[in-house]
Amino acid sequence: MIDPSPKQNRNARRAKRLDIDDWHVLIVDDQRDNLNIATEALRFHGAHVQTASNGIEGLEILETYSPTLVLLDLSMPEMNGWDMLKAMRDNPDTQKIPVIALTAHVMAGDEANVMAAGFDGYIPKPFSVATIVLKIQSILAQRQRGDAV
Amino acid sequence: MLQFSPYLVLIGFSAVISIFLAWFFWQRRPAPGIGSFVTMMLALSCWSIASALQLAVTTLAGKAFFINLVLINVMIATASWFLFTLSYTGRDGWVTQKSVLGLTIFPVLTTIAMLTNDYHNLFWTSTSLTASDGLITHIFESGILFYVHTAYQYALIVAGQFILLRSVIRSPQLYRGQIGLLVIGALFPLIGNIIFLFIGTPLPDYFDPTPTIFLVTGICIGLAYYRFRLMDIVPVAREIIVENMVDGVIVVDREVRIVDINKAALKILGKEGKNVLGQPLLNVWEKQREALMQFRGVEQAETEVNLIVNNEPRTYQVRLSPLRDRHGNLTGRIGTLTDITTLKQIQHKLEDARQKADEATRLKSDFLATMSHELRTPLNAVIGYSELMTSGMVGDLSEQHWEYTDRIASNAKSLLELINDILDISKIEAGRMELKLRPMHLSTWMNELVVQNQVLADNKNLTFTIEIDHHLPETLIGDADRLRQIAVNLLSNAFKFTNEGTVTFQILKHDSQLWSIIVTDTGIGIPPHKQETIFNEFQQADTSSTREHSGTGLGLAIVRKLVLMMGGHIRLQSELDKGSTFTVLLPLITDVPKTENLVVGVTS
Repeated sequence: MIDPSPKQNRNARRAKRLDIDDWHVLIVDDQRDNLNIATEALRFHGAHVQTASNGIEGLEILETYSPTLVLLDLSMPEMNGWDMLKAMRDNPDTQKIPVIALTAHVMAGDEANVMAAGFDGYIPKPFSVATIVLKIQSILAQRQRGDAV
Repeated sequence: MLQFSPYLVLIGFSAVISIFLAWFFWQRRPAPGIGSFVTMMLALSCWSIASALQLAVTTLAGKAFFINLVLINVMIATASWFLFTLSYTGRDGWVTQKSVLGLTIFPVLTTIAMLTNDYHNLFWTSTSLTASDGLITHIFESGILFYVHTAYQYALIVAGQFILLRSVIRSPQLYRGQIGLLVIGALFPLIGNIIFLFIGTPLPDYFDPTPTIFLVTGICIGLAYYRFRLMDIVPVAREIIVENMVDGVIVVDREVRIVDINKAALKILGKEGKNVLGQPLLNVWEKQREALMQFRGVEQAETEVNLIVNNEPRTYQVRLSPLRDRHGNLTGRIGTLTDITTLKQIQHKLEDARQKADEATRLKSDFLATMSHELRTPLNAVIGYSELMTSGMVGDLSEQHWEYTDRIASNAKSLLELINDILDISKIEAGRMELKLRPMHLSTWMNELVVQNQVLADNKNLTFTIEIDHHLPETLIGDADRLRQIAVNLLSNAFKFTNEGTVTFQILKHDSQLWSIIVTDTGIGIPPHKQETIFNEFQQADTSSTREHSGTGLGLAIVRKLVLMMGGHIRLQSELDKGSTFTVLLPLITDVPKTENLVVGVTS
């Protein structure tokens, strides 16, 4: 469906900057495009971003970098997202860092598997550039409520 | 010269009944012992006739002739009786030419003794005539040979009765009635004869009631036949069924010697003729020694055995059951062999087909999952980059750049919709679509839909009216996501094909069983001949290449499949240039299931 795009639409759809200057985000994805898009979407709002293209690289970065959260793809060469999550949870230095799965696995049961594996959240691809930060915020808020209980 | 007595009528009557019974049973051939029985009845009838003539003639020579004839028929009748009991109780094997010949030796000797009495007077010591009741009758004094003859006749009758009695005791309850009747029949002539010979009767000496009494035997057997069909059951069960059974039947005794075997079993053994009877099964079936050993000492079994029969591998189902005497002691075993080779082959084929079908289903599901992942990944990039640009996150664009980028984004979103629709259709068709039935709050569900779709109305300056029936419960059971999919598809169609006027969205209570989602528009309408096909995949009312309306053509197909999965149905009313009304009727479920998350899988 190709909607006519009235001109006033352009201003309405202009992104409003959210204040997330204090966010340090590690994004792990083997797809360069996904890395680029997620990085831009977060940086626009002020977040600091580091990227890795597989689980091993991601873990290497975590040795010196302590992010606010990790956005983690599932299917990757070398080390996939499941194994990287497990390695992070096994390491006392990284086990408390929130990890959100960012994945194109969107068949029935995938979300349940992800949550069962210990991820803090699940964002299916393709994600919306306009709303990804809001989504992350709501996942983090939910997680904090969960911790408080 | 002949004389008359009223007793002649009685004797003649007996003769007629005997002949009738002989004829009657002759019609019922073949049945066990029927030959012997018919012979017995004929002999009985001859006996009666000879007895009548003996009374009627007045000369000593004539009387002697017919008395001899009576005695010959008595011998035939008793021998036939004995043979009948053997056949009837299943001892056919004993009724051979040799044994029948053996039975005739004594009567032949008796007959010779009888005919040559004039020379030795050992059969009759004296013969003379006398007058009694105005009739000329005979006085024949019995000699030693006559008593031997009589003893022999009684021996045969008693032996036959003994054989029948044994059968009565050993036979299943079912047959006791008929054999009991036979024994009663058999006792009659014996008792009658004893009374006649040793005790005496009020009847005159010259009248021999034995053939008349013997007739009772025939009538008893006739009754038994009619009431219990004895001539049918035994042979059918024993001979015809077992012998011609497709299954092999082997009976062995305690020492595993073959006692009985039918044709089918002989074929399996690769033997001919019944000369295997009495031989140890292990010797007869040397080739299958190993297969047989597993049944050693086993009384009861049901198992499958693979055998080579006629150089062909066959599979048999073997059923082994113990045979016991009435004290419960094991006397032998009966084994049946059923050829299940074809059945097995079909089973294997079915199993293969099922595995292949499962494999195909699995491959299809895997393919769907892979497709879904592989298509979404590049789409994510296209949509993501376009949105980065149109949202101004990566700097400003010229007017034209912005518009074209926006077009890239909306085309990519259309493609994504199409992929989702194809996946949905495939999932429904593969039976992998699951309905998650949960309580849903109707007005909340409807309000969300209205908020989502208001923008479509605003874009085209259409009126969007909604109605919710307050007779409906606030909460009902359904799959909110799939119901939303149905409503969104119907609403987006309504907005797409309506250029001015109103789109109405109603949720109504149809009756006590059904509720309905109704979407009405004032759009272009659907021509009657398209009203059926638009629910098929890739069908739009306008299929021309220049059609002005975009869309996958899958929306209504998905709607219909989902509605059917939910146990509902969909109706369409439409008029060209006036508008369309889609009515979805769904079962009204209000009781909350115990389980929070009831999942219903439906194969379409």
